[in-house]
Amino acid sequence: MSDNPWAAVTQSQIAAADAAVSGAERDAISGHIYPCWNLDAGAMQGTNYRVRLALDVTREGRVTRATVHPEDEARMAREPRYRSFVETARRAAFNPRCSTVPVPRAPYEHWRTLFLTFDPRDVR
Amino acid sequence: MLHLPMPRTAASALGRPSPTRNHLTVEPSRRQLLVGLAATTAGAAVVAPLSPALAQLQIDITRANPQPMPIAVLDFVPQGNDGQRYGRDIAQVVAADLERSGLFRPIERGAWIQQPDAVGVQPRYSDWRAINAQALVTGGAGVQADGRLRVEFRLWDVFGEQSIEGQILAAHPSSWRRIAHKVSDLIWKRVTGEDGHFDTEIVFISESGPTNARRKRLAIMDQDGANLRFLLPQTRDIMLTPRFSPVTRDITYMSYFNNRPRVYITNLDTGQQELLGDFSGMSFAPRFSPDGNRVVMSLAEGGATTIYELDLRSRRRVQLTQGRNIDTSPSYAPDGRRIVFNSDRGGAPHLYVMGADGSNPTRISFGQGRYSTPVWSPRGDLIAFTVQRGGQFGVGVMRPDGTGERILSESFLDEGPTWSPNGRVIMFFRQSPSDGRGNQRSRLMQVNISGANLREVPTPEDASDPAWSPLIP
Repeated sequence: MSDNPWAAVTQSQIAAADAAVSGAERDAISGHIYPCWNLDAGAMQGTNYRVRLALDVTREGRVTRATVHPEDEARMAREPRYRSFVETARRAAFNPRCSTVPVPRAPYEHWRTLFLTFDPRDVR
Repeated sequence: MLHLPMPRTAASALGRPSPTRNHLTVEPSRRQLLVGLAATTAGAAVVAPLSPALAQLQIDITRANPQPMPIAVLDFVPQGNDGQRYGRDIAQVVAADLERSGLFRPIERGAWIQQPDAVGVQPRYSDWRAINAQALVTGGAGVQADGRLRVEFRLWDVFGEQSIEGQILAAHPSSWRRIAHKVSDLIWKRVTGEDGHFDTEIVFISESGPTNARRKRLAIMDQDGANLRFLLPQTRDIMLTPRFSPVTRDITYMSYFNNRPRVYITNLDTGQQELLGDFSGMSFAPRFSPDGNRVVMSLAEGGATTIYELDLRSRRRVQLTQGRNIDTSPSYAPDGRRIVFNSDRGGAPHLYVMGADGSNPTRISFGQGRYSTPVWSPRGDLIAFTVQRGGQFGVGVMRPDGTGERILSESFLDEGPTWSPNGRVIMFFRQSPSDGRGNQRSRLMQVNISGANLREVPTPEDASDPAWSPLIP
C-alpha cells in the first residue's frame, strides 16, 4: 500500500482511465480549473515550467488533497521562482470557485485521484 | 543639497515562520489509499490490469487566467507611539504598491469580514476564503522607546492556511515609506520567487514651460511618485538622459552648457558631482557597465557616429565600432559580455548585438520601421526598444537573438524605455501631439513585460527620459 499517488503510474492505468472517461469530460475538468489559475505571462518569460499535481477528490468532485510529483517537489526546493509557479497551480486547485470539479460518469475509482499537469504552453 | 539617505534599517528577520502543515500536501479529511499500486510497478506494461482502482486519469491544463491575485492588506495594528497612523499609512502604501504592479488586486476594506484587530495570532481563514482572498497581509507598527519605528508583518496563504513570510523591520520614522516598500518587496519575492522593484527610485527630466522655451530639470522620486525632489539648482542648462549605475548610487546625465553637451556623474547620497567630459556630438548620456567601472557612449565626428567605451578609473577611451555609420545608444548585457546598439549600417536604423570589445556585430531586428534606444533587461532575457512605424512610435521587447518581438505600447510618441531592476516592468515616456497653441504634454508611463497593466506614473510637471534605479541598498 502506498500513500503516494505517484508511486506507480503505468501506461495500462492511463489507458484504463482513457477508456472510461471521455475527452469531453476531461475538457470539462480542465475548463473548470484553468479560470482559477492566475498566472502572469511575464513570470513565464524564458521558462519551460510545468508541474504535476495529483488531486484527491471526493465523489462529489471536491478537491481534498494536492500532492506535487516528487521530481517537481525537489525542484521547488532548489528554485524559488519555480516554487512560486507551483504555488499558483496549487491555489487554482484549492480556489473555492474551482475546487469542486465536474464529475465524470465513470465509476469513482477511475477518477478519485486526478493527475493534472499544469503546463502554461498556451500562455507563453 | 541632496536629500536621500535614510537612517539605515536594522532589518532583522523574524525568521521564516514555521509552517503549521506541509504546504506541498494538504491533508485530506479521509485518506485515499491506492491499494496494490506498489505491486503493479514491475512488469505493469506486460500485465495490463484494467481494474478501475488502478486507473490514472491524466489531464493537461495549458491555459491560465492572467488575473491579479486577490489579496487583503489589513491596517497594521498599533504597537507603540503613533502606531495607528503608521500602521494605516504603511498598509496603504503596501496595498498601492501591489495594486500598481498589476499582479495583485487588494480587496477593499468594506468587504472584510474579520477586522484587523481581531486577527490575533492567526486569521480566520474561512472569513478570507469567503471573500475570495488568496493571500492576507497583517502586521503591527509603532515608534519604540529608542525613537525607531518598528514594523512587523506576516503574509498568510489563505488556501494553504499557513503563514508563509514574516519579518521585522526598523528605521527612523522619517523612512516609513521605505519600510512600506521593503514590505512590498518581501511580499512580491515570496509570491513570485523574484526580487521586487518597489524600494527603488526614478530619476527623470522634469519639464515645464512652453515648447519654445522649455525648462528641463533633473528630478528624482520614489517609484510610486512620492518624495519628488530636484537634484540640482535651477539653471538655464538643459539636462537630458540620466542613467543609473547598476551598483552604486551614481547617475550620469548630459547637460547642455553654452550649447555644448557635458556629461556629469553625480552621487545621489553625497551630492558630489564630477565632470566626465565635454563631448561635442553626443546625443545620449553614457550607460554604465554592469560593474559600474566603465561607460559606453556614442560620439558624432565628421559625419559618422561611433561607439566608445570609457574606463572611469583610467579615463582611457576605446573605440568599439568602425566605419562611416551612425551607431548610437549602446547598452550592456547584464553579464557585461555583449552590447546592444542601433545602427544605420544596413539602411534604416536597426538593432545590433556585438561583443563588449566590438567584435561580431550582428543584426537582430528585422521588422519594418526604425528601431532605436535599445536597453538590455537586468534579467538578460529581453531587450526593450523604441520603434517608429506607420506614423506611430511604440515600445517593445525582443529576445537578444531577435526572436519573439512584441510591441507593448504604441502612440503618437512612446520612447526611451527603462527597466525595473527585476526585469518585470518597463517605464518610458509618452508625448502627445501638440495642441492648437503648439504645446505638447509629456508624461511617464509603465507597462508589464506581458503588455498588461499599461498606466501613467503621475508627476507634478511634464516628464521625460526616465531611468529606473536598482533596489536601494
